Amino acid sequence: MSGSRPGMLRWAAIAAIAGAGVFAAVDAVLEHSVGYPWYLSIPDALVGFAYITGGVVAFRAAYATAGVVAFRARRLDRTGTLMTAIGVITNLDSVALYVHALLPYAAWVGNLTVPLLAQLLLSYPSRVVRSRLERAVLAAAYLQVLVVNGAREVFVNLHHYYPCPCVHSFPTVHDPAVFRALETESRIAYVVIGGAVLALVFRRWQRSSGPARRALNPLWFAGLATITALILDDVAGFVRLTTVQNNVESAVVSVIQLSVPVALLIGLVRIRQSRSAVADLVLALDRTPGPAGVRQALASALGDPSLTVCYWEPENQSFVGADGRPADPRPPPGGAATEVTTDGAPLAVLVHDSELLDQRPLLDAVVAAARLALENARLQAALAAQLEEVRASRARIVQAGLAQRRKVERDLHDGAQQRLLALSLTIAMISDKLAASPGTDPDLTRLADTACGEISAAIGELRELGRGLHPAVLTNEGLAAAVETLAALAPLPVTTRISPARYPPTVEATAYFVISEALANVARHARASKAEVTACGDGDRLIVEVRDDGIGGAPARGGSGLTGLADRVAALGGRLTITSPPGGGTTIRAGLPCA
Amino acid sequence: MVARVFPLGRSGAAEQTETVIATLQARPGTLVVVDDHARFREAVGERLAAAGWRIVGEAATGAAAIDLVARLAPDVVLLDVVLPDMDGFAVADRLAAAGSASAVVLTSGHERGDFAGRLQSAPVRGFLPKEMISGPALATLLAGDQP
Repeated sequence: MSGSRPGMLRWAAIAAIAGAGVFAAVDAVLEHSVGYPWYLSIPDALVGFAYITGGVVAFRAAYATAGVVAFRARRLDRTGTLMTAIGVITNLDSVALYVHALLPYAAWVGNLTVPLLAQLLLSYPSRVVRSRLERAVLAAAYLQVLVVNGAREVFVNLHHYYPCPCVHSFPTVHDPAVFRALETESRIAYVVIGGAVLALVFRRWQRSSGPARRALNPLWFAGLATITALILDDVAGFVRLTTVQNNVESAVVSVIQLSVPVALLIGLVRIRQSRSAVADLVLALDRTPGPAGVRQALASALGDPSLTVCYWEPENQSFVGADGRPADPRPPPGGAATEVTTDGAPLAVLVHDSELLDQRPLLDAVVAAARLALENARLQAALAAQLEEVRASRARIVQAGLAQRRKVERDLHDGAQQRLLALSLTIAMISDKLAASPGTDPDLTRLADTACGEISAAIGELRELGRGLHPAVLTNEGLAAAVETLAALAPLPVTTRISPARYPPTVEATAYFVISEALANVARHARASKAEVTACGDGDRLIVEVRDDGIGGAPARGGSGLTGLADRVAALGGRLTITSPPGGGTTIRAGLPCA
Repeated sequence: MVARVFPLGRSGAAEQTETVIATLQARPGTLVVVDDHARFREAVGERLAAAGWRIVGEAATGAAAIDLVARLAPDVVLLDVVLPDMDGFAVADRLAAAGSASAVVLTSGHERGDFAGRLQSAPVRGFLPKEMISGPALATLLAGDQP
């Protein structure tokens, strides 16, 4: 009913119901003041009053009001229609008392109250009657009322029921025998169908649980009570009651019937309360954004802690979880999946308890409220997945780079350097022999010495190159020894406090390069009198710190050298911080995860 | 200068890991050279032989070195730190543990500083960078370090 034409229908319904309400009130006043023989027979004033006010005005007005309220509540238009129909049909009974031509028709459709009520109970709040059995029972109920009751009215002698002159267009064949047979059949069918509806409603109630029960309980209990009362009312028809007994019984049944619209209103209030759950959800989404926050907020708004959210990843055409890892949107046994779309494209799937399907309005409202947050969360999940990928590949690149440097250093040392070393010994020997033999051309001696010096220089340069690539001492002896070497080479006094423990090669190398670059910066820029290097394990991290007593004021992001180091540290999942207040020295600190 | 070369251990092996070289030279002492680079062993052998050392054996791995020193008991073992199977420090430790009387001199293409404190605690006579190896340097080291 929602959508294009709600205005006209709604106003028509409101007008009809308002009219019915006014009529019900006027009817009550007239009945009370003018009186009909039927009512005048009520001996007890109190019972009569209760019946007239409670059973007529309140009953009909309540059905009408609850109907229109439900009608106005989104997604409950079907319930509202049924409720309103019940109100109108019961009013028809009263109208017929004034317009006698309507009496047979009123008697005919008046019994529609029961199938309408049954449909209302079996379709609330999901609009449709799903089960085949439920549909069959409803069909039987409608058939019974519309066909059998219609036939019954054909054979009735109206004057038997209504002692008044009656002119109407209803086709009649007065045959008391057929009428009595049909009436007996009607009463039996009434009890059987009523009993079946009772059982089905009870089954529905039994199958629901948790949050669904809370919203549906009032209406179902009222419905069960009303149908039971109507069956008993019908059974009472078999028994000859005194007028007083009959009137009391009618009043009680009317009051019980009154519970249905009241219960519907209570249910609506509860749905409205669950709307306030939606309001809470909006606040929660605002407070804790991000995929984990969205899941938590949805779970608490829907009252289902097991709820999970799978986000659709259009790029990979697959579902991912909040953490960006692949996820399965198929519900487990007893679960259900609700698809959320945006502009017709899949956005996410909520995997939740199947009971939530009975709370379609809440589910729809929650999904509508969370759609934007879900969209954001999906982007974040996708981003998290990409970030995780980038982070891992960055770490791999850095590790591969360090491994490559180690390998090149080793290859240089084992290859070219060994050849040069052997060559240097050979040339040294030539030089020795030349020096030892008398009468040698002095040019030869000089050339041999020059060659000796060149080779030594080449070996020295190669050694420096290797050290810059990856210091052998780091591989051989670990960080402590390597930093000792650095400290010894530094142009200022450096005290070191380095844990003698060994760490993964990548961690040691990164720590070493941080210390090396930091000490170089101290020497270049800090104008410090001394520096201090510490490196110690802290849980699963290695904390490296280089502190000087220089002029401070180093740029927070460091120079290009330090930025490169910060990148390398970050690539391993660590963090490099520079603290350098002007005049307060500089502290460079790196935390390196060792796992 | 080199009289005979004959393989030990794996006979006729393409991958010759140890060779005993009998030299005609006498004093200043017997020497075993341990290095995985054949060309370097050759150069060192030539240089020290010229200085009067008798090169009694060569080894390319730590395991071969331990075996050779145990059999030949040379005066001096010139031991490269970086070996394919174990490092020179481990070889020195094993020799000391086996009660070898040979003086161990470590050598490497790396500098002394690259081995930091380990040189102090190792059961070796001293360290000689590879390009510094010569008869006089070895003699000085051995003389200087002797009590």
